[in-house]
This record gives sequence, structure tokens and C-alpha cells, in this order.
Amino acid sequence: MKIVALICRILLGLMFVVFGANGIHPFIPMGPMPPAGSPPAQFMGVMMPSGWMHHVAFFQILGGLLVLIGGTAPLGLVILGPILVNILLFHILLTGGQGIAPGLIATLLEIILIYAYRNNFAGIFSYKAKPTV
Amino acid sequence: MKYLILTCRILLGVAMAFFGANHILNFLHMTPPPSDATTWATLMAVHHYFSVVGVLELVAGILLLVGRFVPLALTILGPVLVNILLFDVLFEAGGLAPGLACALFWLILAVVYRRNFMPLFAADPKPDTTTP
Repeated sequence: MKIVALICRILLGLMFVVFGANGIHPFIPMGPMPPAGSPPAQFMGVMMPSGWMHHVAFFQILGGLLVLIGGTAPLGLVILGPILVNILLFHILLTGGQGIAPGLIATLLEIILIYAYRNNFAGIFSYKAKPTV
Repeated sequence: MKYLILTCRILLGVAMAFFGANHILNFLHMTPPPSDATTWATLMAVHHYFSVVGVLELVAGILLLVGRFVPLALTILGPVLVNILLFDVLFEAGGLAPGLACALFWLILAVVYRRNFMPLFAADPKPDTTTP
């Protein structure tokens, strides 16, 4: 499990650092763009110029680095979780499942890591949490 | 302090449960603000993206109201609020106040329930290697 967690951390961390960096400063050659007017094209047409995607990319890099560093993996996983939810929703609802594979792999890595670090997540799932005043 | 927490829980819970339900059922018939925000909101609504967000808001809002799984509800609402604020700020849709108020309630609750979030910030966490 220790080695599995390490491998998952490196893969997930690298994925998000690389794709996050690509979101801020594109360097990965992209395939053909979705046809103009299609839902993913419309979506990106608003998300890119407004700068929304840059904010997402910033959180991708931050979460990826925190997962890579290791000592801060749980915090990184909490940041990457909602980003993954949106990556999956984008592909399921807007592209009709096209290009969902990397997102599914990253989700699998995320789930394995949350399980591995379950001790650190236990507090979140507490049924009757008491506030500290 | 006890009542401050209760107030925050109820206000954030009601806001999220109400607007979450509206995302799913659309009973407010809100007229979309102009330009980019409209394009985006229409896209989100037509492809049921908003329904998914609405379910998350509704569930988290109800959890806050009944006072069970409060840290989980806050964990769900955190990223939702980040996106609400990004929407308001980046598209300048003109309605920043409700988002900011919710973010404030969220912050107060996150602080008072900090005990449950502390393990996330552990300096050197070790993966649990016991095999089930």
C-alpha cells in the first residue's frame, strides 16, 4: 500500500501540475478543437477569455504540488477533488463522454489516495461534529 | 458564540438548500444577466450541469440545517462557493453580495469546526498501510 500510494501520488501530482501549467501557458499540442458552436466550444469560449480557466489552472498546480510534496497530500487531495468533479461533469454533460479517459484515471488515483490517507479525512465525515468555541 | 454558529448554520443552510432546489426546479424564473454570464448560465442549465450543482447545494444545505455531517457539508460547499464568487467577480454580473455573505458564514463555520479539518493540514501524514 505504501508503494501504491507513492506511485498514485506521483502520477496524480504530475498530471495536475503539467495540465495546470498548460492551462496557464499552453505548451501541449492540442488535437482538433471542438466544432464552433458545440457545447464544449461554447463553454471554453466563456471560460477562457473571462480568466476562469486560469483560476482553475492555478488550483490544479497548487493541488498537484501539494500531492507531490507528500507531507501535504490530504490538503492537495481536497483541492483536486472538486476540480475532478467538474472535469468529469464537463465530459459527461458537455462533450458526451469524449476524452473522459484521463479524468477517469485521475479520479481512480484520487480515490485510492483518499482511501490511503483515510485517517486524515475521518474528521470530515464525522456524523455529530461539535464546534470548538 | 453558540448562537452565532447556529445563525450561520441556518442562514448558509437555508440559502444553499433554497437556491440549490431552484437550480433543479427553476421556480424563481430568474432573468439571466447579459452577455457572457448568459451564454454560460444557459449552457449550464440546458446540459443539466446546474442540476448536479443544485443537488450538491441542496444536500449540503439540508445537512447544515439538521446539524449532521456539518464538516462534510462545508467541504462540499467550499468549492461551490469558490465558483459562485469566481462567476460574480469574473462576469461582473452585479450580484456579489449574497455570495460574499455565504462565504462569510462558511468561513465562520469552518473556523469553529476546525477540529474536524485539522487532520487535512497535518504536517507529515502517513498513508494508512494496514490492509483491510
